[in-house]
Amino acid sequence: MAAPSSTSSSKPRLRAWLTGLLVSLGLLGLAELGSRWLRSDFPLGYYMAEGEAFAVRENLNRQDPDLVILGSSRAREALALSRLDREAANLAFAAATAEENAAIMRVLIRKAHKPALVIYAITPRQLYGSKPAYAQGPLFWNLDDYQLECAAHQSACPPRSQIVHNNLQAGSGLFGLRSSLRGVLHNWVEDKHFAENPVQGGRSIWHQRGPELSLLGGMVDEDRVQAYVRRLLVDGAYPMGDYQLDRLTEIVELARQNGIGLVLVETPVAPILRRHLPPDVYPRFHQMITELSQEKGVAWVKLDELNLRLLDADFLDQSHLNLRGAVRFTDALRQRLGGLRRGQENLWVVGGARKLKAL
Amino acid sequence: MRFDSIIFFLFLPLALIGFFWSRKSPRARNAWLLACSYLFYGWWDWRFLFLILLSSSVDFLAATQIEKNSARARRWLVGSVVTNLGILFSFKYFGFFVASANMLLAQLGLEQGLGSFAVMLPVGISFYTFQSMSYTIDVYRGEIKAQKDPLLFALYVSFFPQLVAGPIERARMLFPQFARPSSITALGFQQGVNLIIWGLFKKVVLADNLARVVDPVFAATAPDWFAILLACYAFAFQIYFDFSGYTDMARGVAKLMGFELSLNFRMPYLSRGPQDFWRRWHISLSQWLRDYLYKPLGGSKNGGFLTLRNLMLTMLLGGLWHGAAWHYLWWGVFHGLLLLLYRAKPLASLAGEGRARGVSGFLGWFVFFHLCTWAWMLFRVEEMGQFVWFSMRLFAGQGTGPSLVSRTDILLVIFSALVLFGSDWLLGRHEQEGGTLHKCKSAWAPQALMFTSAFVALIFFGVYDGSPFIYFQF
Repeated sequence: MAAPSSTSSSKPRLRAWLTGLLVSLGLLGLAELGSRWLRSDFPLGYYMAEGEAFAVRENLNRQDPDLVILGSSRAREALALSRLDREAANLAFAAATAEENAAIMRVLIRKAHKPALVIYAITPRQLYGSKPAYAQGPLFWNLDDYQLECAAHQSACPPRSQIVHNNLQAGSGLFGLRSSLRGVLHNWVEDKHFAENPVQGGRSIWHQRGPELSLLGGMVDEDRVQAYVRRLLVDGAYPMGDYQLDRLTEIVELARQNGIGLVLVETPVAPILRRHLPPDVYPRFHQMITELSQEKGVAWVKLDELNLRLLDADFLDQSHLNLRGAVRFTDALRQRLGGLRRGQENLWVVGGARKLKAL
Repeated sequence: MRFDSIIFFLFLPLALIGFFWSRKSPRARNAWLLACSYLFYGWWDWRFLFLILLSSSVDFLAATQIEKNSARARRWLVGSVVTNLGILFSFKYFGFFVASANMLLAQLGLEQGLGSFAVMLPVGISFYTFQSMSYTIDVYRGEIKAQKDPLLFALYVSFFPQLVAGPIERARMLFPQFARPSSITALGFQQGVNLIIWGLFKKVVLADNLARVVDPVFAATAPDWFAILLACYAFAFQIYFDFSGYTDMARGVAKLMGFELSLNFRMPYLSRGPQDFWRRWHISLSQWLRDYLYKPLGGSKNGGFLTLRNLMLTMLLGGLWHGAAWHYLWWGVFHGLLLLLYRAKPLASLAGEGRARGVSGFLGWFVFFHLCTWAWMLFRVEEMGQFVWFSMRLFAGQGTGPSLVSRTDILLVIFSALVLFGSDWLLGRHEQEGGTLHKCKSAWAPQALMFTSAFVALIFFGVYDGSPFIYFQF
């Protein structure tokens, strides 16, 4: 499309240019209509070239689950959906904090078919940091979310282009196919297949490799865990501030206002990690969540209540359960939640006890 | 606002509608364009507008006084230059000099230092400051008359298509265009739309995807040699597509309104030597440095040592113009050294003038392209130590563990190279054969194919994460 310099015979050239442009726009219009028809059937993959969070968003837009798991990669690995006999979606993804999960919660409450129950699998990592980060949260925003955030926090204002992108993706058939098509192309180039989709109950890439991948096989050692923890510390302390707690409170409020059942569940980490974390981290974490639970009347299941003794053989690394650990943890949690349902315990206020039937 | 943002595509039609209604009266049109330009710039931060106003007012006044009062002309010129460079220094370089002084003091054992200064860098400050300064200097030299219309002059300094990343226009190029009524032609409109789409494609499809290859490598502590090599190629292409994409869009937007802006890039990566390269890369800056720095220093008139000194000084300041950091300065020195080395016999014969042909032509291109690409590594690193470390790993072929690059990354770099050299080759052929390529433009099918390919690429492969144009920071 280099610009022509000669003006001779410019009229036919101009006519050709205009015809070419209009034909091209017409073709795009047809492609848009075709893609709207195609979109609902297009395969949804995981790790679709753009990362886990994108995959979660795509799945979130096209699924109407009864039960939703929120959290970070720890939650993604900890809950084996195959052990839950309901229509469930594991929307947890790597590095998601309460901030990102609040953004997902806002998408969930906009759905015509809202989930009956949300299990928020939580560790201190969910409350990490004292300032807004907006690392992956804006992926889940629409314009209203953006305006809300931007009005409250200056740092939320820059990702405006992300919102335009989200709305285009939601509103346009062609843009909506973007992630999937990029994923297909990426897999073709890299000679890979779509991984199983943990959002829809498939095994994560780690779980696919089976329970033999564990701390017993030396997946991590003391030095690596020490280095991992050191990276998280700020002036020797593990920062857990009000900001993420506020976002967690927002999740609780949104669930309450929309009649969605919510349970906060402590997710296990390996003893090797707890040994290296500053000793005040877990007491602070438990205190924060317990206070929130009492204040807002939300169910809070501590790990101690599950009567579950997890071993090194159950952990993939310092932070994540392997398949064996996930099955054990999910079964124990299911039993405990069943107990809560039968006992109609007072903790189960948000969303009403009937929501327990979702399990 | 940025050219690749939605807000700009809402702003542009409004600006064009106002322009269309006012186009017959230069004064009304200029007032409208000035308002649009200030809105465009103030969208980043309205406080920056005061800087543009200050720079415009000082240079307008200085030039008027230079013309009126020849006895005091030199003083007014010095006043104008000091004000412009003072603004530039305060916002762009002060923090750097303080940080460097602190480093030096720390090495001398004085830990107290001078404190730290962080000032927000106004977008495009280096571009409009240089543009405004060139006007005052030209008036002082008697090359142009001082502008009597403050509105027109203010528009010259802030004309929105080229305000934040050039081309750095001369007054003699823009004043006549602003002084006459605009004539919008269908051909100009067609060229403008083509340039905007082409520029957008270069930026969001090529440059921003290449950034995804480059950034992880430069963020890694010990990437393998192949990752470094690929990232160097990728960055060379990224910076070209980013900057030339912006320039294409700037020229396209100006063309929609019937204005012509200078060509800023002319197949730079086909150069066989540094002299040729600087005649093709960021042409408006190269010419500025040549006319207002190199030549006043004496240029190559005095021969020998003085020419070398002038070359090095010009390139060093050219490097520093790009950013307040040591690695930019060293990038300038690197190119200065290349200019010196290419004056010596073996390399000078490789560079040769004219079109590259045969084995020696290819060899000349190959050697210089790789030197230039290596120099871009210096431009991209965070600090000098990283350049040394990466260069050592690259040349020693070091690297262990899984590579940071995937097949997709390699294919993207190859595709970018094909687009870059392919479009350059077509442009070169077009120039050589007197525009015969236009013959195929009378058929609508190739045009439709080009547009559809561009739109499909923009929809499916464009990156819309708000990455700023690289040259905005300068």
